Parts: sequence; structure tokens; C-alpha cells
Amino acid sequence: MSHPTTDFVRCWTQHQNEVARYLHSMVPRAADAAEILQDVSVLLWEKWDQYDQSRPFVPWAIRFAYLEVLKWRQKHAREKLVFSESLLEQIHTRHEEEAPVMEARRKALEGCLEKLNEQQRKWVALRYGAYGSIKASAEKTGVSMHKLYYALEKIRAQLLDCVEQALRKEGWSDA
Amino acid sequence: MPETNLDTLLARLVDETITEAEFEKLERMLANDPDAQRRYVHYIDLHADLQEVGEVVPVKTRSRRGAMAGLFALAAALMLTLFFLWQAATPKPLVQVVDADGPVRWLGASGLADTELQPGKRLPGGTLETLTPGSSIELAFDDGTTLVLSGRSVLMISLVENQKVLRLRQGNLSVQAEKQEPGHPLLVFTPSSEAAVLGTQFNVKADAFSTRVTVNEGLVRVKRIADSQVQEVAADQQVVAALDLDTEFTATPRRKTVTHWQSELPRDQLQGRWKPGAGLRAMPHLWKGTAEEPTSPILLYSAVFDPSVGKRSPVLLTESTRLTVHGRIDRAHPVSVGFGTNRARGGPIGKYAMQGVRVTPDKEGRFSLDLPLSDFSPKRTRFPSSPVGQEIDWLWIQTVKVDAGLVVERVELGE
Repeated sequence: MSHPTTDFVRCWTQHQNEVARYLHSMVPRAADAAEILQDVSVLLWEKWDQYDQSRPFVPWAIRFAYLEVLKWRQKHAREKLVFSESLLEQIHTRHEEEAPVMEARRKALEGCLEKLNEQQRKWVALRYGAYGSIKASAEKTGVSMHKLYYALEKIRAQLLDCVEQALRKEGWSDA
Repeated sequence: MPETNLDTLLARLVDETITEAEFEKLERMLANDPDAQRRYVHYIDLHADLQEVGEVVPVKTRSRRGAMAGLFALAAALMLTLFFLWQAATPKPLVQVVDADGPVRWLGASGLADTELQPGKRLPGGTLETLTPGSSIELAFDDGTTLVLSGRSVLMISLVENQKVLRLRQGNLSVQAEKQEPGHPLLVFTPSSEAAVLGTQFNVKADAFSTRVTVNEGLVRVKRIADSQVQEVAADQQVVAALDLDTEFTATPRRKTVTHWQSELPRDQLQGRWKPGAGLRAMPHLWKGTAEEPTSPILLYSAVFDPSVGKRSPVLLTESTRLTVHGRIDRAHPVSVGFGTNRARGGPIGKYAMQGVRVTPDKEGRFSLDLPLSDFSPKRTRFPSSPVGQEIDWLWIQTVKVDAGLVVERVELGE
């Protein structure tokens, strides 16, 4: 018989990336989102005995994550880069609406990444595969930061457009 | 504002180069505009996807995404190289804290100590220490393999080419290993042994000179370092690998449980100062609460015993088990008595205690306690309500905050 702690850790390990993505959209600074993620994991563990395992984990977890975001916002309302409570509520709603299509978007992205040219893939690798921040990538490789920044902006826009087109082809009405 | 401007702000947001004024502008653009908000959500998700691609491609575990093909392989190779460069500089989380009790400490590669090890916290490779006989911590790897370190123990955890490597310098380690990849067994090193496992439940008890491995499920291959002899230890077997070659190194059936045990000093002491003819004097140590019930560190004076030392039979707790304690104390004072348990043929499962038992010494300063098992309560809500059917691992007698001169002469478990 498995132990509740093991069940929780397995479940959390499997789904925490989803919760992390959600938090990152609610709290723009990665360090802040990571801090809240820690709090959310503790809160979920405390609430684990209330979780109905016949229901999906991510929506249950995001409900608590949203409350933690609001709590965090109250503490940091006067700081820079903090969205208003009203906007957070709207983004949260948008998340709920978009959740069903996100997996399809991620699958479509695979094909779109293959369409990048060699130089574009190099920019992506520099930004996301190596040093973890655009500034660090630029400094380590000697590439102009502005050049890298501009290239990445174009690549992201291209990828988003590509994903939208792919979803339209597959018949997703909201794409 | 045209969409490109929104994208520019979003790019600056994810790259963390956005200014305060730009952030305010972004907020205005997003407010009450579902399309802009949708773009925002998609943009952030794309950023997360790209981060994941940057990490996932090099280690070839992209089950959800399938294989990238053709020209992208070139970028993958580049990312692989860069990933390992990055990985060398940035410790990647290896394990997650499931539970912690008492003083525990994590030392990362930087040498900085972390003592706030709440459930859910992710830790990179490093050294884990449980600092008192009653300390314990449970950790989980991403594949579901769990380990419990308890007592005064020191364990180094690392991942070498996708192979879990545990180095137990001293103390008690219990491992529930999920099935490991072929050719990549989980390795447990101690000062006197090396163990390789592919999926099993086993307990290791080690000091500088000898290691006892008890296997409850599966099979563990144990090598004695002193002469490189190997023993296959199957379920319900144990082996002792000592540096001293006179000690027999043969896997033997785990001894049958007994229901009676009487302490023998100094053999069974885990903490305290033993004086021949006197007993085990309770010695001070600091204690702090659990993540569930945090407390400020308090001073405890404890005498701690290990009924399972060496190859002795495990002591099974039954409905009619009674714990008796004989000792001396300077004056009438409350003491706490408790014990930690293992599952029958398994790893650590609970801790049970009686707090504030009033002890009054006789004219010679002696006292005795006779406590039925039913009077002990679980120390945490997650422990089973009764220890009946479990095996005793260690037990303590202590005073809280005050040194009352407690000396334990003898402890006995019996029906």
C-alpha cells in the first residue's frame, strides 16, 4: 500500500511544471514565482488529505496557487512588476479558458520548432539551453545583447503564429 | 496599440529587462482585453516550453514531445553541450523533501547550510545530516524512489550519469527503490561496503567499521570493501560487512522477531554518557519542531537506546507489550519516554511518546516506571495511531529543558 506522502510527491512531481507555468504568468519575476511555488507545494501537502484523487490534480492545485498569488500580492502590492488584483483575476480566468487547448498548442510547437532555420535555432539554444538569461548568454558568447534580444522577439512571434496556424488546421476554433 | 508592441513588451517581460514604465504600459494593454490576455498567456507558456526544450532535449527524456528530427538535431547537439556546461555551474534539483522531523541540515556544493527543509522543497546533490537520535528526513527522487535518513546520520546524495549514488558515512538509511534503468543500479556506499540495487526495499545501518544491510523486498548485491567479496542478499535476509575480516560475511535469514528485550550497556547506547556500574547518563542536545509544528529550539537531556544493534532479533510490539525503565534522578521531575518504530519488514514508520511522566525518586534516588504500550501516543498525526505490529527501532528517556540528573540503568520491553 502506498503512503500518502509518496502519493503526494509523485503527483506533485508529475504536475508541478503546470503549476509553475501558471504562477509565472501571474507573477512575472521568475524568482517570485519560484518562491510562491515553494509555498504552494507546502500548502498542497497540508491539504492533501482533502484532495479527491478521482478528480484532476492541476485545477485543484491551481485553485490554491491562485490564493497564494493573491496573498503574495497583498504583501508586495507596492513593489514594481506586480499586476493589479483585477488583472490577476482576469488572467486567472483566461487560464481556465485556455487550459483545454494548451496541450495541443505544445504539440504543435514541436513542428514549429523544426521549421526554424539554423541561425534561429542557435539563438534559441543560446537563450534557453545555456546560460539561462539573455544577458548572461550575450556576455558569455560575445553576441550583442540587442541583437539576441531582437532575434528572440521575432522567433517567439514566428513560433506563436506558426502554432496558431497549426491549430486552425486541426480545427481548434479558438486558435 | 499594434500587436507587435504587445509582443515587444512581453519579450522584455520574459527576459526580465522590462522597465517600470513599460510594465505599467503592459498592464494597461492587458486590462479588460481578453485577446491581449490570451496572447499574454500563450506567450508565457511558449517561454516555458522553450525553457523546457532547452532542458529536455539533452537528456533524451522527451516522452511527451516525441523526437525532434532533421535539422533540429543540430540545435539539440549544441544545446546538449551548452546544457552540460550550464549544469556544471548550476546545481539541478535531485530530490524533494517529503517530511522532516527534528534537527536536519543540508549542505550544498557551495558549502552553505540549509536547515529549513520543509516538505516540497527541492534539493540538488549535496550532503544531508540528521543531527540527533530522533531526527529523520524522508526524500523522494523524481522516479518515486524514496529514502529515509534517521538518527545521527550523514548521507551524500548525487546523480552520476543518470545513476543515483548514495554515500552513507554513518547512521541509518532506509531505501524504497523504484525499478532502476538496466545498467544503472542505485548505488549505496558506506565506509565498509558497496551495495547495488535495481528496485527493492532495504535498510542500512553503518558506522566507520561495519555496515548491516537488511533486505525486506527484492535483491541487493553487497560488496565488502575489505576484500571485495560479494554477497547477494535476498528478501528477509541480512548481511554484516565489516572492515574486520574475522566478522562473518554471509547473507543469513533475518532473525525471527522476539517480544522481549532488555538493554545491555554500553552495547545498546545511542546517546548518553555511560558509567560502568551506574548506567546511561542523559546528555543534552538541541531539538526543534517539525515543519507541521515548528518550535524554537529547546534543550533536551536524553538517554537513547538501540534495541536493534548488530544482528539481534527485531523486537515486535504487541497489544500486551510493556516498557519498564529503571534509573536514578536527582529530584522529582517529569520525564518523557518514547520510541521510534519500523514497519514489520520495512522502513521507519512512526514515533510514539508519553510526555510528562512524573518520576519521584526513593530515598536512594532510584525510580522505576512500568508503562503499557497503550499509553503511548503517536508524535505526529500521520503516524499510525497504534504501534502494535511494528518493530522497535530506538527508544529514549529524557527531561525537557532541565537537567534533573537522569541516569537510566536498565530498560526492558516485554509482555
